[in-house]
Amino acid sequence: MIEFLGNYIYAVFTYLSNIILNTNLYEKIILILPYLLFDFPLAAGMVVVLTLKVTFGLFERKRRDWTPPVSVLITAYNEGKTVKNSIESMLEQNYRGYIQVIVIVDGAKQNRETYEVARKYEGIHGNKEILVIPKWERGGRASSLNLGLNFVKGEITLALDGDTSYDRDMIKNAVSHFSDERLVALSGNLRIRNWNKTIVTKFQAIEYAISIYMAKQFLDALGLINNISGAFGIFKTDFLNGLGGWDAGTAEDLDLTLRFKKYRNLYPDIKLGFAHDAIGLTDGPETWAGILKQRRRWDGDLVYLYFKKHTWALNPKIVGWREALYTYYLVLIQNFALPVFILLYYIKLFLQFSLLEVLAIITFIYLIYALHTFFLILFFVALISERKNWDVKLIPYTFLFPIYALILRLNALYAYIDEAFFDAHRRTGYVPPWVARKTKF
Amino acid sequence: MEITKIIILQGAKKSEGLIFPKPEEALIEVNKMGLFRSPHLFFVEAKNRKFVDRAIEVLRREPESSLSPLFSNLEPSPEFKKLVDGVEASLSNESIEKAREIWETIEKLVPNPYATTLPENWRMNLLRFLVTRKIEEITPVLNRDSVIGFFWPEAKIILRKEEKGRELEDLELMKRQKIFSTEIENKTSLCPFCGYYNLILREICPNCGSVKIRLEEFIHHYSCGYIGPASEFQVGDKLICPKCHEELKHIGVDYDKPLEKYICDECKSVFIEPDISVLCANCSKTFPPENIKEETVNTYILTPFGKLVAAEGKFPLNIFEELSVQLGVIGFNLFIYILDKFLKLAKRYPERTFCVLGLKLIVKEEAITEAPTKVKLFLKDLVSIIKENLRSSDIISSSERRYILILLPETPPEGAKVVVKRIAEQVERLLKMNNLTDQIEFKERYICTDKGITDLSAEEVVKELLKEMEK
Repeated sequence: MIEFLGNYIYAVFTYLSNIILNTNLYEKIILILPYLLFDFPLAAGMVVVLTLKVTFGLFERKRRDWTPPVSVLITAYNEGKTVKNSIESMLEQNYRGYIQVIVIVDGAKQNRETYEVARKYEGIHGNKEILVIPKWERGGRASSLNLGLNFVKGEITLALDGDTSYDRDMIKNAVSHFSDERLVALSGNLRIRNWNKTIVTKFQAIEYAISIYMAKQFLDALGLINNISGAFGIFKTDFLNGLGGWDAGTAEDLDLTLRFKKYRNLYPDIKLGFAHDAIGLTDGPETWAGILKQRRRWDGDLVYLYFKKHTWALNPKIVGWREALYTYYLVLIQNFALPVFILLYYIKLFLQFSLLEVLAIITFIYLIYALHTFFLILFFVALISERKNWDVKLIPYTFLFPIYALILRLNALYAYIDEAFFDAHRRTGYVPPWVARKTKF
Repeated sequence: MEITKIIILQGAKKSEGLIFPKPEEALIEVNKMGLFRSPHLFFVEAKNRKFVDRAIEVLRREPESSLSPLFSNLEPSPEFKKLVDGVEASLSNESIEKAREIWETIEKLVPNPYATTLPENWRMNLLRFLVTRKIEEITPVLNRDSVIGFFWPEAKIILRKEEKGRELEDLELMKRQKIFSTEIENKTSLCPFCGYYNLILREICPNCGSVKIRLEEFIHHYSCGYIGPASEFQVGDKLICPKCHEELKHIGVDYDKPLEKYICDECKSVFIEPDISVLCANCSKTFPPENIKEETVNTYILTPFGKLVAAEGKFPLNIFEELSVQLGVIGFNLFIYILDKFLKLAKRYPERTFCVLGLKLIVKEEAITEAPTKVKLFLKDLVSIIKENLRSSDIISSSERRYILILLPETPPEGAKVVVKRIAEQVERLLKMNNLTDQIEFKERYICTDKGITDLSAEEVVKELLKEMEK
C-alpha cells in the first residue's frame, strides 16, 4: 500500500513536471479540453463582466424608486414549523409599500401543523396583510400558486417557498429592478441557510455562489436569463395573468420560464432578469443521499421539459437563433453532452494508459478544477459576496469541491437516462400521482 | 266619591277653564284654590312628547300631586310610562272612572303619614304611588346620564333626585327596612370614592405610574449577543446593532425577537406587564382596579310589609340610618382616602397632629319596638351633642352600621381627650335622664398621631380603633 502510494506520488510529480516542461502544447490542450471548452470561458467571462459591473457600474440595471402594492404567494406543504421562518421574514420586510402575503397550505388536511402555524399570523400587521388559504386536497405546487393568484391584489407578485426565508430588504430591492418596462419577471438570489451544517451543505453553498449568485448575474448582464427560480420568482402580475398562471405537472418554475420564452415570440421585447440583491435563504439537503435524490429530480425534469413537453424550445424558428444557440450550449451541451463526454473520456483514459498514469492525469485535471473553484470563490468573497464572514469560511472547501461536482454530473447522467427511457418525473413525488397522470404530456 | 275638578295642562294655546300652559303654574294655582283636598285629575293636552314628560315630572315630584290621577293625550317617553294613568286623545268617561277608583284607594290609606324628614316623606309618596297604582316592582333602566349607569325612573322622580341613579341609596335603605325585596337585574362598576360609573382603565408604568408607556419589541443579535429595544437598532430602514455595528439582514439567521417589553418614556424603566390604573371621569381620583366597587343592579319588589308601611304611613325606625343622615356622614371609602392623605402628611410633617375618634352605638331591638319615640328623641339629642362638640372642619363617617368615625384635623391628643370626655359625660347624662342606660350601649375611643400610627395604612388605623371599642 505504502509502496503504491509512493509510486502514485512519484507518478504525479513526474507527470506534472512532464506537462509543464513538455513543449507539446497540443497535448496539454487535449488533456484539459473539457475545461477549456466549457468551464473556462464561462468563468473568465463571468469574472470580467462582474469586475466591470462592480467597479465601473457597467451592465448595472437602472433602479426605480417606487412602492407599488406587492403580493407574495408562499406555498407550503409539509414544512411544519419552518413555514414560520418564511412568514416572519415577510413581516420583517423594510419595504414601505403594501405587502399582501398569501400563504397557501397544500393538503391542509394532512398538513395540519403547517396550517395551524400559518394561521397564527393571519391578519393585518402595519403595511402587511397576511391571508392563509387552506387547500384541503393536495394538488401540487402549481395548483397552489394558481389558487393564490386569484387573491392577488399587488402589481408585483412573488412566488416563494414555505421552506425559504428572505432578507429584510428583499422586496425593496426586488421591486427596484422593474425600471425597464420590458422586464416581466426576475429570478431571486437563493443562498444556502444551513451552509455550516455538513460538508454537503458547504459544497452547495459554493455551488450556489458560483452558479446562481455569479453566473446568473453574468447571464443577466448579457440578457440571457433562461430560468426563473421555483423557490423564488418575482413577476409583474399582469404578465402572470396574461400567461394564465402556472401549468400543473412537475417543475413549474422552469415550465413557466419556457412558456415565457414562447411568449417572447409574440412580444419580442419582453425580458427576464436576475435580482442578485433580492436574497433568500433555503435549507439544502444535509446528506449525500438527500442531495443526489434532489438533483435527480431536477435533472430529470429538464429532460422531460425540453424533450417531451417543450421541444419547441430547441427550435430556432420559434425562439430565435441567439436563444437557441444559448440553449444548445448551456442546456444541451452542459447538461446532457458533457456528462456523457466525461464518462467516455475516462473510459478512453483507462484503455490508453496504465493505472498510475491515469491517476496522475486525473490528479492533474482535479487540480485544475480545484484551482478554478478556489479562484472563483476568492473573487466572490473579495468583490461580490454580501456575507463575506460566511463565504470566507468556504475557501478551504474549494479544493474538495470538484469531487462533489463530478458526483453530481454522474448522478445527472443517471437521471437523464432514467427520465428519457423510464418517465421518472411521473414518480418524483413532487406532484401527487393523480395530477401527474392527468397532465397532457 | 266623584271627581270634582279636571285640571287641564295644555301645551300652547289658551282656552276656557282651568288651563295652564306651564305645569308649575298649575301647581301653584291649584294649591291656592285648595283643590288638592278634593278628588281631581290632571289631563295633559300636549302637542309634543317633551311637554308631556315635563308635566309628568313636575306633577309627580310634588308631594301634593304625586298621587293625583294623571292622563295625557300623547305617549310619554318610555321611562315615564308607569307614571301616567292613561293615554288617550281626549278625556273619556272610562278615564274619569279610573281616576275615581284611584281616589278610592287613596282614601283607604291612613291620612297624614308620619315622617321625620323630607326624604322620608318623599319615600312614603313613592310607596303610596306604587300601592295606589298596583305597581309591584321598580325596574332599572340603562342610562348613560345616570351616575351609576342605570336609574329607576319612578323612584328618581318621586324621590326628587336631581341626578339619575341617586335614588339607589333610598331604595337600598328601604330594602334594609324590608319594604322591598330584590332580584338581580344587572351589574355595574363604580368609583369607590364618588360612586360614579364612568371609569377609564389605563395601562401605566408600575414604577412611576406614568401613562407614557409603549410596547416595544426587543431584538437579540446572535453574533454579539446584544439584546435591546428595536428602536435602538433602527437606522433608516436598516437594522444596525448598536453594540457591534453589524447589519442585521435576516430574522432567524442574524437575529430574533425574543420578547416584547414596555418602556416608560417618563422614568425609562423597562417592564413586561404594565399596571392597570382606573381613573374616575367624575372625581378624577385614580385607584387600582381591585378597588372598583362592583354593585348589583336590582329590581325592587314591594313586599307585603312594604304595602303595610304604605297603608299605615309610618316607616320602621332605623337608628343608624337616622343618625347617619342627621350627622351628614361621608362614604367610608372617601373617609379612608382622606385619612390616608392625613397619615402621609403627618409622616412628612410630624407637627401636623390629628386624631381619629370612634363612637359605638348599639340600641336593643326591644327599645325600638317598645319605645320608638323615646329612642328617636334620644337620637336627636345625641346628634346635637356630637355636633356641638365638633368643629365644622371635622370629617364624619360611619362603618359597619354601629360605629361613627370622626377625623379631627390639627388636633393634639389633649384636644381629642377633652372632646371625648365631654361627649361621654353628656351622653351618659342623656341616657340616665331617659332611662335608657340598659337599652342603649354607647362607647367612645380615640387614637392620635402620637401613637405612631403614621406608619400604618388608613385601613389599619381604623381597624385598630374598632378593636379598641370592642374591648
